[in-house]
Amino acid sequence: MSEARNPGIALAATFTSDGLRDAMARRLRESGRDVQAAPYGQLVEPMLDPGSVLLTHTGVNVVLLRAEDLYRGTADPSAGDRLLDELLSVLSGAPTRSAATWLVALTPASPGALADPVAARWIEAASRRITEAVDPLPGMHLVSLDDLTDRYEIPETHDEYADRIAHLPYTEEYFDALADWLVRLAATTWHRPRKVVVLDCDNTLWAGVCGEDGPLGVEIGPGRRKVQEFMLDQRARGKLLCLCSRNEEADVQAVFAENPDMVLTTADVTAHRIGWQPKAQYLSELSQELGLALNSFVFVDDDAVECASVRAALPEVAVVELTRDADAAPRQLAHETAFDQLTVTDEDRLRADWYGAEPERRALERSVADYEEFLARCAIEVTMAQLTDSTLDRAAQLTSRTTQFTLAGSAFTVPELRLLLDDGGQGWTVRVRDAFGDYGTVGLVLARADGDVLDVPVFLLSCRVLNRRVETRMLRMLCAKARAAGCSTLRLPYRPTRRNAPARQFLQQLSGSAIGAEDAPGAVDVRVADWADAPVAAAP
Amino acid sequence: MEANELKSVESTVLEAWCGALGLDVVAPDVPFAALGGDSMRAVRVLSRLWRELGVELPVHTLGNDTTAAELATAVRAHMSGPTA
Repeated sequence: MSEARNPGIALAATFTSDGLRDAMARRLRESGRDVQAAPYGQLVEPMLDPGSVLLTHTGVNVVLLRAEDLYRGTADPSAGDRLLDELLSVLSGAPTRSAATWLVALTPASPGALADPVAARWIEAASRRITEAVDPLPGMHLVSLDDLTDRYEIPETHDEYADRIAHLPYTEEYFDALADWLVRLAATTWHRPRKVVVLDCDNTLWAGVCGEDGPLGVEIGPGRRKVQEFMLDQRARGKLLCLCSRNEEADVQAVFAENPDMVLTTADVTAHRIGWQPKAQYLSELSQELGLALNSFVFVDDDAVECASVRAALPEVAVVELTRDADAAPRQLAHETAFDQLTVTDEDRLRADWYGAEPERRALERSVADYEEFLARCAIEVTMAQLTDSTLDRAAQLTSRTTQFTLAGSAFTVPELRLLLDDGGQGWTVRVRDAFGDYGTVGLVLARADGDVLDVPVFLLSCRVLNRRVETRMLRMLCAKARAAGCSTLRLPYRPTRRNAPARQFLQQLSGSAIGAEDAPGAVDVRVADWADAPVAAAP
Repeated sequence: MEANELKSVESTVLEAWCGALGLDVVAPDVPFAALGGDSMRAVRVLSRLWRELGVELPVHTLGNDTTAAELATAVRAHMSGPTA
């Protein structure tokens, strides 16, 4: 939907942003996207005017706010109160008025303002109110700039005189860093974030060779420690950590078990390949084992030859050739776009734990001859909950990430979802848990009644819960809802893609006719009575 | 004495231009815009002159047609202005 054009970035700031816009445009040029800026100093107007660059836009809207600008030119900070109130109310309504993803950042207060206790207090209070207003808004993300100067090693943030004469509060270096960071964040909404980080061990996680230096002989100084902490943070953001090392497995295990400086533990590692086969082969095996495509992999290794051979054999893998300079390595990782990810949802965090339980689940799947028995032992619970404001983010994320079990395959932004709901549509998020754990919110159904037909534009399920017959349970529950709404037919529109074979298969079960990847879009009608009457607990 | 001061103002101006324009050398008689200067860069130049020389020059002091030599003259006029 939002990918029909090639959406770029629209920018609005409380200060002169021409230089920032140019710096962002330079970074976007090669991706064929552009940056448009709202008129100087305007925030409220472009968020209200339906013809403004912010509201006519389906890409990423960047709103930059320096709190003191709200009372600029007046003697008393409290003169900014009214504009702040306006701004807060307009911000709260912005996601419903626009199909874009919003990034909102509070930019640093000037040293002059912070030195004045009255101004500093006002800025602090205003910043808190803005944060509190933006934080819960679906589709709107608060971008923290607290560590920007450190990460980009900016010697001077403020340009006091340029601020005075041209309302240009920050140095060229700061704007450059800000442009880089904002474009990186915006890009994460256009590309799926990578899901798996595969780590080399020797001279990557630690300095030295564990097979020669021994578990206590390898060194984990401050630099390597930060590398490991970075990876732990990646795990907390929902990425899966794997090891891939040319070593004897016992030697690597010994470092994890015995070296007191290790930050990562074996529990943080979802899967590993340690041995003497080519790393490209190991990566392919890991991809099979985890059931995740290689284009969601990041490979981190210090060895130039290993990196080159993975690049050559598996071009879809993002390769990070990590410097052996321990002090420089954390900085390199911080600037590596392959790790970029904007939205952190509970499901992102749960995923790492969930995959940890997967081998156990697979083992059981093999051990029980009867699949039905397996499903019964899984004790799968499926619940459908009415789509609410607090679940819109996850719902939008599901529509953009799910490529396998999705019937129509359209990606929706939060505002688009909201529009559908406001327009008489209904939505349900699907939560699944079983004997092994909680999968979180993994499915989404959107529907709208049209006479006695319930039209279902979205029917999707994360690939993590495929093959558990969750989809048929969803269909039953949906048919029950359809009957309650007085509908006799459920209409499931579909759009075949190369990747949605599981969804096409499901439709084939329903309609009896096969749908190929190249077939034209269509719709399958289901008689509500066929499904709503059957007992929910039994497998079909 | 006066020649020294003049030179120092001029070299500060030239350095500020080099910094803002990203050039290694700047000829004193070429207009700002011809060297790639624009209003944003002009602000950076004036800001630097404020930091280094303490002169508070308004934005229009450095326009598209202004040369470095002319700006240096304006800076000196400003420096002696308040005391004159």
